[in-house]
Amino acid sequence: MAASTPLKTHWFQILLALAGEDRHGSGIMRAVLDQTGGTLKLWPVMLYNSLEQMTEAGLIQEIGGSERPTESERRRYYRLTRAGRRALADEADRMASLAKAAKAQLATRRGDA
Amino acid sequence: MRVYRWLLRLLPGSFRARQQAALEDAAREQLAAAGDARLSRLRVAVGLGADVVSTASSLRTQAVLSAVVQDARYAARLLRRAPGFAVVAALTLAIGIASNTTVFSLVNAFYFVPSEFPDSNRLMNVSETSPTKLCAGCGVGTSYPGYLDWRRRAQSFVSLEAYDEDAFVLSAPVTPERVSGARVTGGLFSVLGIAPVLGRDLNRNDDRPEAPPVMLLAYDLWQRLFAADREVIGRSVRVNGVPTQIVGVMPARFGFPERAHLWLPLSSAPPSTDRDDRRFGVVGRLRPGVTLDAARAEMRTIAASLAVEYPASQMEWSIDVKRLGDDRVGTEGQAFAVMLGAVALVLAVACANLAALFLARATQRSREFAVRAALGADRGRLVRQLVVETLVIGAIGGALGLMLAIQGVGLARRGIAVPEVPYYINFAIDWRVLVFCAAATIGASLLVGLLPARGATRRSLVDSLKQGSGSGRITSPNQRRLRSSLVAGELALVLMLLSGAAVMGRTFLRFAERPGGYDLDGLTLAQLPLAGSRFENRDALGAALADLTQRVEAIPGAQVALSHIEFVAGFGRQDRSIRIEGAVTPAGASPRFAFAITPGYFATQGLRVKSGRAFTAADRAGSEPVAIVSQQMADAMRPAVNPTGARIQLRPDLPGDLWRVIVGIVSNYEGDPAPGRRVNPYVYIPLAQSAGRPVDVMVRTTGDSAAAIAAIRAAVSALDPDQPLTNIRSALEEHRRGYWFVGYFAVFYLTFAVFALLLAIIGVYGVVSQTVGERTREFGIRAALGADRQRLYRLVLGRSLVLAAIGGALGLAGSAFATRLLGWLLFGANPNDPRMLGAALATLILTVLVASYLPARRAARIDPVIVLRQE
Repeated sequence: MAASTPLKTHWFQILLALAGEDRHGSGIMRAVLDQTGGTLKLWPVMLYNSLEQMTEAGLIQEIGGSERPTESERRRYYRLTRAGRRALADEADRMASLAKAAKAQLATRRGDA
Repeated sequence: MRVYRWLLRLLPGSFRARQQAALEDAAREQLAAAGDARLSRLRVAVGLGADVVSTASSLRTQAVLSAVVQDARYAARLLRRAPGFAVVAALTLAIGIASNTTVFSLVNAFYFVPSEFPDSNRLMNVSETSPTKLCAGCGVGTSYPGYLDWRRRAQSFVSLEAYDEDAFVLSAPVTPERVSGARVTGGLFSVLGIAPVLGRDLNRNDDRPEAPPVMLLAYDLWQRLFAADREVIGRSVRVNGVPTQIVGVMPARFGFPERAHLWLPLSSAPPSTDRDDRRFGVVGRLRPGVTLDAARAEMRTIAASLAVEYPASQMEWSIDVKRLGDDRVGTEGQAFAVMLGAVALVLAVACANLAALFLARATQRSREFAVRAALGADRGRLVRQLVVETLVIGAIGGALGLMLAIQGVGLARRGIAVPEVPYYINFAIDWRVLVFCAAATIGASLLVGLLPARGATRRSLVDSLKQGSGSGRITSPNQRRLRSSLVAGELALVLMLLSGAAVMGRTFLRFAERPGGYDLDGLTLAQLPLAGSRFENRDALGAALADLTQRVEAIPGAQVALSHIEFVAGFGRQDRSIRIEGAVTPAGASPRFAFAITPGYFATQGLRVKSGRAFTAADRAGSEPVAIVSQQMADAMRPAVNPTGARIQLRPDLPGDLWRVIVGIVSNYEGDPAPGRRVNPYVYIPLAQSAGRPVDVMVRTTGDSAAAIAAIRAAVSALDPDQPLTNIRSALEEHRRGYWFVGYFAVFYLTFAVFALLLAIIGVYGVVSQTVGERTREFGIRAALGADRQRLYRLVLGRSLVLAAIGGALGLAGSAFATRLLGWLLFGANPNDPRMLGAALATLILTVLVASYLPARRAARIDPVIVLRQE
């Protein structure tokens, strides 16, 4: 898997928000806001556009009526697909290795000094 | 919320349909979360708005881009599958684009001349103009005293500088040669903003009468006469016999006035103080902040006060100020503009052809479109697909066309390298030409692409599917009509081009033949400037000419005639005419020139004396003043007086002008291919009775003229060794040079007409063969019912002939109008010459028959058994 191509920040955060539980649109928005300490706010059009594109890319899926936690709500819930989970893991790995490389680089620098 | 809902309409429809409710919920939620604080509500509202707009714009661009790329890919794939169609369509367009781009680049060269002068739109040409005098409204320059008055009074210009075009004879140490040049005031070149590349400029000191004689050389003259020797500065050359020092060399590709190769200060000849001698051109640079209108107004005021001060010479004269480059658009430019109209016809023919091609193709694909429409493609999408397809063809055709045009411009550049084209005209492909090419290509493609798109996407699925696949490519009557009218229109345009080409070709041939029956073959022309102070005195000049006449007439094996042109009453002025003794001069009886000739002139030229006598040696200075008039002039005089024996004054406005007796009538001279030519009245007088210079030399020999020329040179040298015999050329060459333009036009026109004809063949062939294809069944049944081959041939060809007849009729009407636009280019030829129109029509009909023959043969050979079995 080509872990070298970074995931869009929005997409990464959305995947992350869905990693623990299925959520509807507003739920995702709030989760992302929490995760990022209030720095990334997903506005509605951007959010739903991203959700559509991610669905098309096969990273998430809309879940059918029977699986919805609350039937009364007309909200649509989203769930990570297998590919989505994989993409999230890859991205996390990529970031980790990036962080590791950066730390190593910084360490040698300090050693030089 | 209402605003938000309205903003959401910016989003693509499909996205909105799916997400509108969710979006509204989310927005409402966010607004609610913001609480009641105004500021935070506002912040959320702005955020929501920005969100919609930014995503919408990126979504839209992506959608359009990806769709266009998709369409283009699809188009490329389709075209690869139909390479014949693609090649024919692209070539058709390429021919149209190439002809138009080539001609446009010629027009461009004449109309948009880049000026070599810095800040050239502040450079002005200042001239006197009169609605009644001389050449009715054109600028004519001014006199020397007039120029001095302007320079003293005008405030609008940084400085006003004057020049006087003249020809000079260069001699020792160089071989005697006549060179055109100008006498100029010292500041001329600094006002123009052009500095010499070598040596110094002329200046005010050189204008003083006592200044030593100096001159500037043009670059080409420096290269030719002095082999670009940089040591030339300070050397002395005789100019009109006066040793003159070379002080500078001007840059390459510079001439002002445009054909000058040599510049002397005004002091080289004391300027005439006659206010009626308007020989000086004047240029000036506007002072900063002064507008053209202000300068014009000031100069008019100055003209008005000069008219009061010098009524005798300045009455009815005003001053005009024009941009210096404005008169550079010559008749050639206008002519090319007319030609641009002609090649637009070629492009129109190409477009009609393409439209017919695309239409046919769209018909073939109507099932594909119907199915796609049924599967949910909207009409806009299908139209876009068709347009993108034409644009792909257009891009290929345009690129091919541009490549051809580059070749065409190269050909034109090599072809039109004649001295008549001024140095600043440069045929090239520049950005204007490229823009033109691109615009023509895109315009043509869109036009052609949209036409079939309308019909093709409108048909219903049911209709298309119902027709099945067998012989199913049936064109709707509407489309068949459209295609037939396209072809008929195309034929009309082709006929217009053909008849134009025929008329131009006829004009060309008329000039290529011996004009008016003259034998130009053995005729050689030359000029004898007789410049220099020795010949300023009229009596001295007369004696010299008499001597020279005797010498040249004695040359064995050659007929030599000398002549000199005098401007007489009819020249340029409507209000003057010659005077006929005892009668009122009828209109049209006043010639513009008098030819002062030696007795051998008529015989050498090939004119016949129709009544009376020719001049003889007995018509000398001091004998009775005589004249001979041309047939045309005699005819014009006849209502008033019997020409032979009548007495006339040629310049009645001059005091003491001689009364001349008309002793003969000579045939009309019909040789010059002057634009807008008609037969002009001419009058001839003996050179011995009216000495003048420069002298034109005409020699008729049976074989090589070199010996005769050498003998004339010797005769001239005996008179004055410093005098050159210049501008020696054969009369045939001269004549050809005079109509080079006609020749080019005929060739251009014919080329374009042939292009159009080729396109028409393709167009007719396409339509007829498609019709035959569609009617295969019908023909099969006809054959089965006993129609013989001849009948089937007649059926197909008859239809083509109907098209040809309609196109021909339209085309005849069109060409009656279009050939008139050719105007003066026809040099008096009849634009509606029935023979030419007939020839064009015959060519057209023949072409149509040839193009229809193959499809007709196919129709005639249809085997009824095979056709009927398919049912």
